[in-house]
Formats: sequence, structure tokens, C-alpha cells
Amino acid sequence: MEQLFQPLINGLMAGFIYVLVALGLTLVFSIMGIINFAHGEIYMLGAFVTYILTVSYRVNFFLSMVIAMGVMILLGLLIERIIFRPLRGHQLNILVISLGLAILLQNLALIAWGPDDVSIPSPYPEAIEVLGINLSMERLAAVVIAAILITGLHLFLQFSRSGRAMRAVSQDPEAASLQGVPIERIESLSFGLGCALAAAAGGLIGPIFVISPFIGTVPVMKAFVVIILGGLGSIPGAVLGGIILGVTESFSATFVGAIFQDMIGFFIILLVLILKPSGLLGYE
Amino acid sequence: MNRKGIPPIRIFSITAVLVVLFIIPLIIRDQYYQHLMILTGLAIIATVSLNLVLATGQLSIAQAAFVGIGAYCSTLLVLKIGLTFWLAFPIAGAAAGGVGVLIGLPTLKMRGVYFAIATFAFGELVRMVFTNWVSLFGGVGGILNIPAPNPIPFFGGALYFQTKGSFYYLVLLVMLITILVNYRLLHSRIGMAFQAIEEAEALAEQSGIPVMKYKLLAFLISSIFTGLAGSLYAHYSHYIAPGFFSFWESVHFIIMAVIGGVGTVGGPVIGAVFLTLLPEVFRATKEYEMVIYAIALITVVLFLPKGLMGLLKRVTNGRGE
Amino acid sequence: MKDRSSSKAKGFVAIVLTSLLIFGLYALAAAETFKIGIIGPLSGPASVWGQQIVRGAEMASEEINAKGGFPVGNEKYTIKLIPYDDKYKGPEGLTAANKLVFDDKVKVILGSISSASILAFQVVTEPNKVLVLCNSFSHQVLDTKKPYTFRILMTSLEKAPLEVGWVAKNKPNIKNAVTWAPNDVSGWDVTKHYLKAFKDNNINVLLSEYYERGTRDFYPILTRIKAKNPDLLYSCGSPPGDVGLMVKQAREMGIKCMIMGHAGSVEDPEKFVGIAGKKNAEDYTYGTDFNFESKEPKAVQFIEKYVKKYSRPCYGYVDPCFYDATMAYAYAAHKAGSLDADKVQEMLKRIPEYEGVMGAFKFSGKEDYGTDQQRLTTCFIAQIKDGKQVILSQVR
Repeated sequence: MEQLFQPLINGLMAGFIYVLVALGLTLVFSIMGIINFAHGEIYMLGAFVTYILTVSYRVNFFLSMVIAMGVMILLGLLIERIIFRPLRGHQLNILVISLGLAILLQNLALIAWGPDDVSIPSPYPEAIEVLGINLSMERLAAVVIAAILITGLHLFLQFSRSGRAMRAVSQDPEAASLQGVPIERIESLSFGLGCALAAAAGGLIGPIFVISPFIGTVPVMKAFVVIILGGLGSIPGAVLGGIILGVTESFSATFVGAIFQDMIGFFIILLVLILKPSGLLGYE
Repeated sequence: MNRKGIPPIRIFSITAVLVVLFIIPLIIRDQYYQHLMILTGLAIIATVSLNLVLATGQLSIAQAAFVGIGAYCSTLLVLKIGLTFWLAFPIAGAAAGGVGVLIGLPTLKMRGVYFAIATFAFGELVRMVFTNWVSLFGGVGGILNIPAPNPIPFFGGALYFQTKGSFYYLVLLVMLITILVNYRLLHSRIGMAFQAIEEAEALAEQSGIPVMKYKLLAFLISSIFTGLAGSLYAHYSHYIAPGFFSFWESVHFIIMAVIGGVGTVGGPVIGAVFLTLLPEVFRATKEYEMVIYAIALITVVLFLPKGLMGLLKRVTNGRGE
Repeated sequence: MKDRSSSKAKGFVAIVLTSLLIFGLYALAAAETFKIGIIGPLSGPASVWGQQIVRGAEMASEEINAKGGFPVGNEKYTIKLIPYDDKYKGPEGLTAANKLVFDDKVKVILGSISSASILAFQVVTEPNKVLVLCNSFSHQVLDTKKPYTFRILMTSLEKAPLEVGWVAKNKPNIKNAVTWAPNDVSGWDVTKHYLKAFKDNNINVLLSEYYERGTRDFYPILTRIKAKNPDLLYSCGSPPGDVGLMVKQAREMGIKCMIMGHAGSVEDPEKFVGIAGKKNAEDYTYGTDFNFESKEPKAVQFIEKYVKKYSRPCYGYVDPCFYDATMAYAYAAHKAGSLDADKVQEMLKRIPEYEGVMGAFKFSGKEDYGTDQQRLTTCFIAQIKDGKQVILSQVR
């Protein structure tokens, strides 16, 4: 039985991190209907800003993260206004331009900071062992902070005026517009929020793994699996999807082989899309 | 549609283009440029095929996987079974088409984003199969020493395909056939039906168009020609590996189609030419090459939503294609 | 009016003719330019190594050009480098080689590190007698049928026996091991060599794990490995960033056995310790080809110039390798008295007396590849102690 707990904990922790990256993506999709391929690069830039502030300017790690979120919100608003808004309605063009944006951001980061992996010195104490299970403090902290952010997002969407407006737009943009919701402002807000979440994820993951211009690609792929599994546009779906993906990957890698860690994700996507395209908790 | 026959200016311009295409390798002997011409030709085949699927309103991120299926199939038939290229080549195309139908059946009923992600997952799974089924596909290192197409007996002598110049003609032929087939299809009644499906699928269904059947048809034809392009690449470059057929290559085809202009046959052609040659122009700039590529991409999409073809049409006031 | 314009015209013609004359004289007096192509990953994650290839070549060409070029027969040739990005992919390498061979008409190509790239472009370089000095790992790169390709860096085929031999000799209580590598050409090839080396040294390999490149979370794999309880965990071919993470996560997981890695798993010890964590990195042992603390005069000189030119420390072994390769090529061409590929390639195999930054420039490998086109360089075993690199011994 003990043998099962470590992979389970591993999977849960990995899953929460996936959720955080996926949240921003699904939020933007639910309200603006666009898949932003550059989401991974926002995550990467968030990690870099946190790294630069923490290491070069000796700012407190948590403060750096908050500043990084702020910077990415601004960048996100700029991107939304200049790049995505003129193309509203042209799905294919938006897809291609977000790809172009991703390539641009990644290569600018490469020119600015070089290709090497860097890391943020851990602001947490060392790993501990609890009941025979090894827990890394950084991951634990990331899970806790992620949980806080997720709850915060949920509360915001449920109870704040902007949040309710966002939900209205995601369910029926025309009706919301008729009721006086400022669609464009809400879209900007949701894009900015999505970027903030991506940046937070990047900052949190900095001390756990490494930071380089190339760290954006893989998380965004995993995020896709998560939001398909959970249902495009569904926040609770993203949480459930992330946890399921994390745990499934962990178990398959631990008991079958690491090669299958990635293949599992793609199998899941195909299965879900064929059997229930709207995902576990999505609505169609 | 012009039923009175093709206007003379069109016949003239098409003939002129064909003549140029046929004599180009005799004029430009620098093998580097011949190499680029072959790559561009293959890119055109794949992009025009992708465009067929896009014409039905479905976004496929699996083009590179079909290129790979065609490439590996043809390679294995020639190396392991000893078939001549001239048999392996069409079989590879058929195999790619077959896989296309197999994957199309469960997925084409999905709309928009869902279909795109399904094709993405399929593409990655194909690549992982090529990588992990080592005994059949050679694993991560791929397969080396793929022979050029066998010589064809010709009036007492033979036609050889070892040189770039000769291979170019093979690619040119397949490319022209691909363009012709796609053009005729898109300008036929079936093509009109594709447009109807792309614009308003539910409505098309209601007016009696067999939506699923037509989507499958587009996907089938697209996969066949893309597979053929894969086979050609394998026997041209003599080396294939799973990494050549990844998600990024599929994305590259999508970018070429969109930049060129989706919907017409000329658009993907222009897109393929532009985006195969543009990075070469900037090859000497090293790490800035990708930045320039990205900026060019973003600029074209922002200011030319109908792609380069749209620009061309505007400039020539809609005449010619 | 006419007079003025005609005298203006005459003046103009005079200036043009004089300029042409000066230019012509200059061109005649200047040394011939010798183009050397470089194919390597200049963008993307592998650009770490691609940039090292360029730097090593730049150091060499600058040194040579400062002396007016390298002499071959009666001519002196200054080097012009032409680097092209292959993005670590086969098709790109093929196109880059096509351009270098047919358009730029180079006689020598440095690179690539990507096996896919070089395997793709050898179909262009070999028939056209273009010398290739590479550092790709795949076994198939060197072959009796490929007389113009040389590998200027040792692969795990040569290094694994040295490293594992050291383990067998110095850590006799190690009876079994687990290998860990990326799921691609390099990873598979490298692991193969270590598996053989372990077998030859009577160490039982319990498990060989492969992970997709891009994975950062090794907890699941490490859980599996921990269950096997090995004496030794060996990294076979992963880049430094991945290895640093693996070491960190392994220690966090409570894996206490010895962790060792191939030469190349650590380049910048400080960065490595930064990623792994000082306590976790303690006692991590690894092979390394280049001793950047060496007191050998050639090495010291090289490092000094490098630091001055690029404002960065010289930890990698790829830079000095390509520096050596470029210098050795110039030396071989000079000794052969010709730029003819066949003559130079013959000479390269016969200049063991040439001392590079990484040892004598000797080629061998007939046993393994059928031909002597594999360079043998220095090789050391190092360890992280108290956050710093300590060289334990030199095994070659």
C-alpha cells in the first residue's frame, strides 16, 4: 500500500502545477474563444522576471512573483489589444499569429538571456519525509499557493461584478452585450488575468525546476490535455483534469516506464475527444 | 464559373509558367538552388493538400504525420520487401490515405478546436510509434541509405533519378498533378459543397449535403498526396527519422497555408514558396533568423488577413489565379 | 557648360580607375580567403553547444588570421567562417550543407552536434569530398565508406570504459547500477556503451530508464528507481540542466546511493550546484574532457584569451575541441602542402605530434569503426565537493 502513496503524492503535486498553467488557458478560451499558443511563453517570461528580480536585484521571492504577475498582465493587455483584437472572428489567423508570437517571444528571450538553464535558489527549507513519503517543500508550497490562487479565482468569478460579467460573456456573449456588459473590456481583463496566472505558475515553478527560454513548450502541451479532459472553458474541469493527468502520468511512469509518461497524455486526449468531446465537466 | 472556355490570357500565363518550371533546372545549375526547388515543390504538395481539409472548415495539425507515414511506408517497402520505388510510391500514398480515413472516421464529426486537438494528439502518437517501435521503424535514429528511385527504361536507354535535376522533374510532375486535382475539386460542385460545409455546417447538412462523406473525401485525398510527398522526400534525402515529422512541422504547413491564403489553390502555393525561401534569405543572420521569421509571420497575418493571395488578388484586381 | 561637365566626367572616370587600381593591387596583395562552414544548432535548446562550436572556431580563426593566415604551399589563407543554423534537425542540416557545399563552396565543415543533422548531410559532403569535423555521437557517423568525416570529440564508446573502469577500481563495493538517459538517438547510443562497460566490469544493470526530452519532473521515474535500490545511479547523455534536476530530485526523494554522470553532465559547476542545491550536489561524480583549471600552458593561454574575448568563463569542452580541430586542420593542410581533401584527410591521421588544448591530436578507432577517424582527447574524473569542482584523477 505504501508503494502506492508516493506515486499518488507525486501525481497530485504535478497535477496541481498543470492546473495552474491550464487555468489561464481555459479562462481565455471560455471568454474569448481563442487558443493562445503563446501562453507557454508568458509562463516562461513570468519565470524569467521572477528570476531576474530574485537573483539580480535580491528582491524577496514572493514579492518578485507578484511583480512578475503585474508585468505579465501589462504585456498581456498590450498583446490582446495590438495582436488579438484586430483578428477577432478569424480563428485560423489567431491561431497562426499566436504561434508567431510564441516563436518571437522565445527567440527574443534566447537572444536576451542565452540558452542556458538557470535556477532560482530555493526560498524554502529542505525536503522532508512524512510517514515514509518524501515531500519536497518547494512542491508543497507550490501546491498550497496554487490552491490559494485557484480559490481566489473561483471567488472572483462567483462574487465580484467583473467576475460575474466574465461568466456571462463566456456563456452567451450576445446576451451579455445586450445587458450592457462592456465586452471588449471584459475580454482584455480576462486575457490579462490569464497571463497573470501563467506568470504565477512560471514563478512558482522556478525554484522547483530550471528556467530557460524553452520551458514554455511542454507545459502548454500538458495544459491542452488538461483542458480537453476537463472540458474547454470549465474551471472546475481544469482542476479535475489536471489532477487526473498528473496522477495517471505518475502511475504509468512509475509502474510501466517513463516513455509512457508522455504517451498517456495523448491517449487520454484522443479517448476523451472520441467518447465525450465536451470533457468531464464541460457543457456543450 | 466561366462556361465559355478559358480566357486566352489565362492559357498564355499558365503555359508561360509551365515552360519556366520545366526549363529552370537547366538554367540554374547550382545544386543548392535545385535543392530548394525540390523542397519547395514538396512543401507545395503538402500545403495544397492541407488546404483541401481547411476548405471544409477543419483544422488538421497532423500533416507532418501523414508525410511521415508515406515516407516510412515507402522506405520499408523498398528496403525490407525489395519493391521498386515505382510500386512503393503509390502504395505509400494509399497507406497514408487509408490511415487518414481510419483517423478521420471518429474525429471528423468534431468541430473546430476539438478536431484540431485530436489531430495534434494523433500526430504525436504517430511520431511516438515511429520512435518506440524500433524493430520496424529503426527507432530514434531512423533509417539510413534509402535508395533513389529505380531507373526507368526509356527508349533503349534509361531515366535515372540520382541527380537533383532529374528528381526535380519527378517532384514537379507530382506537384502539378496535385495542384490540378485540387483545383478541379475545389471548383467543382463538390468544391461548392465544401464551401457550404465550411461556412455553415448545420445548414449544409439540412440542405442534403452528405457532410461527413465529403469531409472524409477531402481528408482522404489530402492524406494520399501528403503521403506521396513523404515518399518523395525519403527517396530524395536518403535518410528519415521520427523527429522530421513532429508537431512543429505540421504547424509549419499550417502557417504556410494561412500566410499564403486559405481557400484558393494559389494561396498555399504562394505560402509554401514564400515560407520555404524566406528563412533561406536570412540564413546568414543565425539566431535572428527565427525572430525575423516570427515578425514576418505576425505582420502578414495582422495586415493581410486573406494572406498573400489576398494581396495578389487586390493588386491584380481579381484577375487570374 | 559643356566644358565643365566634360571635365567633371573626366574627373569621375579618373577617380573610378584609381580606386579600381588600388582595390586590384590590394586584392592581389591580400591573402586568399579560405571559407570554413559551420553547421550547428544556433537556436533552440541545443544552441548551448552550437554557440560553443562557433566560439571555438572563432578563437582559432582569429589566431590564425592575426598571423596573416595559415600557409599552404606558396599561399597564405585567411579563414572566413560561415555558420548556418541546423536547429538540431536533419532536414535543416541537409539544406545548410547544400548551401555550404554548392553555393559557398567550402572545403571544410565544422559540426554538427546533432546526429540526425550530420547523418542527413553526409550524403552531400562525402561524395563532394568536403571534410567534416564533427562532434555528433552516433556510431554510424564514422564509417570506412565515409573517409572525409572525422569526429574530434570522444563519445561514450571511448569514455564509458574509462569512467566505469574508474568506478570498478575505486569503488569496489558497487555491485549494481541503474542508467538514466533521454529518449533519443544520443540517449540510446550512449546508454548502450555504458551497458557494455558495466558488463565488462561485472556491474549488474538493474534498469535502464529513458525519458522524453523536455521532462522536468523526474519524481515518477525516481520512485521506480528507488524501488530497485541500486548502488549507483548513472546519467548517460543528458544535458547539465536535466542532470542537475535529477540529482536534486533524487536526493529529495531519499535516494542515498552514489550518483555519477557521463562527461558532459556538468559544464559550469556553479550553475550545476545552483540547480541541484549545494547539499544535494555534494559528492556527485562525473567525467569531464576538459580541465579548466589545468596548468598546462596551452590550456591556460586558451582560457585567458577566451575569457577576455567572450566575457564568460570557459567551462565547456566543445569550445576547446573545435579550437583544436580548426588549428589542427590548418596545420595538416600546411604539412600536406595542399588543400586537396584526400591529401589533408590522410595527413590528419598522421599528426599525433600536434598538441592541442585537449591533448595530442591523435586519431584512432579502427577497431570500432573500421577506420582511424575518431580523436582521442584527455579525460578526467571530477567530483563536486562543497559546491566546487574537484578533479579526482586523469583517466586518459
